[in-house]
Amino acid sequence: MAQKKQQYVLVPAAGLTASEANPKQMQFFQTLHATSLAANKVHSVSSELGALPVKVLDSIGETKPKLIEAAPEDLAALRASHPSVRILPVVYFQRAVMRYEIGPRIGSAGVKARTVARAAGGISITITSSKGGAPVAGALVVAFTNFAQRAGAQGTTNAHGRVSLNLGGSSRKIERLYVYPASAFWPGLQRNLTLKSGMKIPVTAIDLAYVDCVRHFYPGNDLSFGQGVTVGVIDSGVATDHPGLVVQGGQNTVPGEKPGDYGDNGTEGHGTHVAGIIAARGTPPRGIRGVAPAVTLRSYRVFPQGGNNASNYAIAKAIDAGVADKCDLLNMSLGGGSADTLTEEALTAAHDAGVVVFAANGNDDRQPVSFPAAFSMCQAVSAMGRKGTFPKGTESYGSVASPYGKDKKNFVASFSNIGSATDLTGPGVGVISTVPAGFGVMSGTSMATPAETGAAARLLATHKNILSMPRDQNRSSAMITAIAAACKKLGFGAIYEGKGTISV
Amino acid sequence: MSRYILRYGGSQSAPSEHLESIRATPGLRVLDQSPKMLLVDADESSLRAQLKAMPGWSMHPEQSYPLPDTRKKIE
Repeated sequence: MAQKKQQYVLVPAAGLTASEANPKQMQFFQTLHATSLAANKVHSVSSELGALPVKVLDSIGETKPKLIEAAPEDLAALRASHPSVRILPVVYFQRAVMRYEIGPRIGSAGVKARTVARAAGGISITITSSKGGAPVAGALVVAFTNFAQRAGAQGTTNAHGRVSLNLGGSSRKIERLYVYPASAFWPGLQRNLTLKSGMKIPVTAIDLAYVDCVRHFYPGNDLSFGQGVTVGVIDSGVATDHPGLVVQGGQNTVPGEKPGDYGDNGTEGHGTHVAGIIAARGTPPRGIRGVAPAVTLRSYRVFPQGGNNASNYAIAKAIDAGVADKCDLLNMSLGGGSADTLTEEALTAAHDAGVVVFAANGNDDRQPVSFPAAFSMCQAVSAMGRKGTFPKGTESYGSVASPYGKDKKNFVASFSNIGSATDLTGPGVGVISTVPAGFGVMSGTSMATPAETGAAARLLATHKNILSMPRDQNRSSAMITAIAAACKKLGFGAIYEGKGTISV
Repeated sequence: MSRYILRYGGSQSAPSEHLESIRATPGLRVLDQSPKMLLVDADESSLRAQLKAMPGWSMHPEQSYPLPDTRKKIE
């Protein structure tokens, strides 16, 4: 369904004046300026969707920013046809007057539910392997007595696979029970069960030959795919000693830590998982294969040892380092903070240096696309899944939600953020990849993003003419245009999938 | 005193004379440095006054981003 048209401001990728060094950008700005002076003020932008009508409401000058009106669902195509142009939402500022307003308040019932759930009284259960019954140590177990209020109890299994949950008795009705093993098993989900002490909860062991959603959409990955393309992973570090990964270099940009320590930061292996989706070089059933195994993989660690947040300084420094190291693509499976101009400057500088950045939409259950993915200079990636690419009883079932695609097995993950800033969608529900201890399953736009980064690398490896261009904004624009041309819509709608998924 | 990031917008590394001037800001401590940036602990008004005379620099407060996680948790 077509959405109501909205106002946006078009500005050049860098600065506020169109660059003579970019003839396409300059011509576009001059054309829109002329359109703003015409009677109907409507310009048809040529795109892969056909002619997109853009109403030019105002122009500051021939080479200066334009105020336009366009349909939100057309933005992804508009960005793809003019990658060196930023599309900014019109922002309205309020008077700084503080007023009290009527609004919802948290009721005492909700508080009470949480209090009761945390009262003393442990239910001891054991997490076991569905194959052989061996205990599973180090698994996070989360029992929700009330899922909507996120009330319940959680704990981590000991060496015997046991965990004691403080649920206020020896038996308790549970709405949802999630089990998140550290590695080697699929995360589990059981609904509406009565949990009793002594129960054994099985989890499914990972079969490395299993066709998960990444392997479904990007099958048959040859070890030569992605050759000649350098990809930087800006994340929690990549396990340099994992047998399935070849990390060719990188940098730790966390202030106060060793710059050469760009390995995994000792948390749950997020960056290692992301890297494996792009570049794992194993062979099932003993290993797994990434989407573009032959890329030159570099790790830029921005999350500190032990798992604290990443600062915008570390992120901007990592983007600069990736540009200086001649990465072609940068993967940023992170976000969620408020927009900041430092990261925007670094991302714009990367675009101007011929580098394309992919960023995760965020996992806030259909909230607007988070920063930095929402920034125009990023390729923002939502997460989709496919029924039949995860075993029964696994957590991935909890992510199935509408909208469904033209192929009704495909769906947009319930956790995925969405909106007109979305450029691409990628497989991100129940993804098997590398973790420091071996292999693990994770879900998120964090996983969907490297799937599309890998697909872009695989695609660009066949476009040597683009890779050999001078490293400037014309190069990054050419890469984005090639990526857009290879996209296939799955039928979710533009705010869910942007231009679709990269088909290679 | 708060933590700020100073970024040089030129295509080359930050000029050394600029870096010397910034380091001379009263009470300023440099916490980290890259070819285009400085992470500093400083007084905002002193820093802004120092940067006024040096074109090409931008100043940003430090902020942080969490590691994404889709695991459900008790709140």
